[in-house]
Amino acid sequence: MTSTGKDALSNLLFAGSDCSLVNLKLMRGDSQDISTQRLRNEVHSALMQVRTGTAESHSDFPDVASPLHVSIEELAGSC
Amino acid sequence: MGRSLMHLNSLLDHFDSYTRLHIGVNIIRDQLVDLGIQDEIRFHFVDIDAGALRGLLFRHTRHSTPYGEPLRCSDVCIATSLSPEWKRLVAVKELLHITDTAEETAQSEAAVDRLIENLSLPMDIQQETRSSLNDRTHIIPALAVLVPKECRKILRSLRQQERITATDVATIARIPDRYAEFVISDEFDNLVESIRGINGHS
Repeated sequence: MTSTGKDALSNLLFAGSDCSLVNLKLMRGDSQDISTQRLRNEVHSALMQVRTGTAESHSDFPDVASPLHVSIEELAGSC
Repeated sequence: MGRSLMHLNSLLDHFDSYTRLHIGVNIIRDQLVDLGIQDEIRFHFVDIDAGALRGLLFRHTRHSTPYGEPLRCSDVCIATSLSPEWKRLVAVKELLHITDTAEETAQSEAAVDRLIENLSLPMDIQQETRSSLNDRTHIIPALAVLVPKECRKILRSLRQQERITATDVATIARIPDRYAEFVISDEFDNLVESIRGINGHS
């Protein structure tokens, strides 16, 4: 962050007037050695891609196969 | 019990009796809507370093008209480089955060700073806040929804009899391989029950 305590992520989340944050949650990757600034930059990058429309976006999650097609009870009876 | 706490337990209760797999992400999203969560939910696949960050939930309000009621929106971001199984797990884990209580949310600038600081620290020196702890542990209820209780019971029995492998469990449930053995263990069921207990389940 800069000496004013603000960085691109802070500005994106809190300086704009068009939306108000309700909750931010992250799912961390496996890398052990990650600086706070690097994590902030990744969060900022993700949100910028959403904001600028450069991310692939869906209102339905694009699951690759039809759900619920394996009956676990039938599996137990057959194998 | 707060409404958000009820939501997580209600969601777990709903899926407990499912005996068919895999559980689609959209089925879980629809169940959240049925519980009265009216967010506009969108999924975004973003180009980020998945070693640092697999995904995130950005829940916010915005005004569609200047003086209208604010619209509640949830953007679920998922790293494009992840496997389909990881993408599903990230999506569900982040969806479940829509049920977070006020104490568990990161809403203020200070709370966001603390959350990111805590998550960037190695596991052995973290000082968890309620929000960062909730961020790390939500993978448990996410897995419990993706492999519901009744399915876990049957799959555990088949695994104990060596009629299926852990890889079979991962393939059928479409979850990452690393969690297959864990999700059908007694330890996992105990963890789920303790989360239900924290949330006030009788």
